Amino acid sequence: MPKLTIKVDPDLCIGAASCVTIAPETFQMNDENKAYVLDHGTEPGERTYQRMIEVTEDEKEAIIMGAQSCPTLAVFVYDEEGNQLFPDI
Amino acid sequence: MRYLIIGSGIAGTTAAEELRKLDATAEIVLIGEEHEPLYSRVLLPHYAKGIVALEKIFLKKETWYLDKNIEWLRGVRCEEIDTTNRHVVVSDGREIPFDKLLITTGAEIHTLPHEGENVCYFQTLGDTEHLIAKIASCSGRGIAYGGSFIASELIDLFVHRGMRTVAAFRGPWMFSRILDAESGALVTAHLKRVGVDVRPGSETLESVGATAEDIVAVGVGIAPELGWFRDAGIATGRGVLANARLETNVAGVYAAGDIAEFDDVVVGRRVMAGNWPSAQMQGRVAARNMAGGAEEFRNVSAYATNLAGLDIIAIGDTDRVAADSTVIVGSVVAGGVTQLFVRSGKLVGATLVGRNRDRKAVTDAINAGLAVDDVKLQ
Repeated sequence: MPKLTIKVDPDLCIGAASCVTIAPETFQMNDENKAYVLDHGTEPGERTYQRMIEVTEDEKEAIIMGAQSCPTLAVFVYDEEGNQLFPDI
Repeated sequence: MRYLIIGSGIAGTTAAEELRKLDATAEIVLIGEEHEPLYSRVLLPHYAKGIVALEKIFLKKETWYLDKNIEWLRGVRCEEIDTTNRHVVVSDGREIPFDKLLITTGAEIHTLPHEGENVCYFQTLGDTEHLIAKIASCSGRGIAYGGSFIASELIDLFVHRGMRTVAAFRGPWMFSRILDAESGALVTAHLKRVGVDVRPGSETLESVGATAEDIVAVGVGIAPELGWFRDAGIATGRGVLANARLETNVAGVYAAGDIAEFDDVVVGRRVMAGNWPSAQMQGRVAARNMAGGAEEFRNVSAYATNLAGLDIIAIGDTDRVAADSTVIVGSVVAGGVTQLFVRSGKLVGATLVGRNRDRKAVTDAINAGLAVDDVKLQ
């Protein structure tokens, strides 16, 4: 299964929470109204804005769609080699 | 099949993208008044503050439309819809035919008769460039006129830029259409604490006493132009009326985004959503239905802003008039107020001021249709 690194830039995040709506297993809002990153609905280790997680192709699609839905482009997705999958421009 | 989408914002562009995913060979025409490729209006405040560069606000490249085989008519205004002969008439006189039509024209902003070089609005990239230029040369105050989310962004911008800031609005407190007195008092206290000159009850812009040195930035709401839809036989209320599948009363004609007044299956009432995530999701659902689906749009709408350090979040149906009752949790003294909107015993909406921690519980409860008594907030 592919591994993705998912990162939220809290300085860009405005708390629209569209990523949470689309990929709730991967994103949730913290008390600062910023999205943070989950590993399949859980928070191993500390609460964090960045995680590397193993995903299925369907999960990968949902995560990228969640990132695409962010109106401030605050969500970054990288593949195992560190290539930026999103934003793609 | 020939799909025509009027409006090239987030709802329309998302619909075009989804239609292309669903149908590799359909003709897709996207008509928009703006000349730029899709950009994020939500990033305009970040751009105005200098947090992101101009090139970072664009969500599509110039070449994207051609790559997706989407015919993009930019800088073009639709002037007439003929639902019988299935075409629209655009500003250069051409008739553009369609089999299925999606209306995503958004809304025009209310303008005030007060005119002058120092008057700014804050909807488009062009508005933002004007505002940035005015801030750069401003020797006076930043006056934000209006009591809702756009005015809030303007206040936040002026404070961020270190300007002497005036918040002037008609109501007794900011967001008086959705916020109760306690929440409103918290917002007012916060604004004063960060040094903003707060002027409630400013019935007119003139009453604020702006000088030529000041910037006057106006955010007094939006109003869609609806006459031309009615002329086409498309039913309208406050917006273009649509059912939960985002279909209008005319077969094969759909509406999505800020223009749509749709049956919201979550809150059980016809509403307008007016925010970016809803517009995007509606564009996607409308496209699927245009391509033959029968999907209901379902989303707990949310709008969040940070007003000079204070988080304000509106979730679900926050129309005070449409609620049977409201319940207040928290206080100014405690530094946070949540207002719950109740209809037929169920939680249908909430405003959170300085209480972000309630967001998940409230959103989940609205989505599940829980009774307000079953919502436990700390």
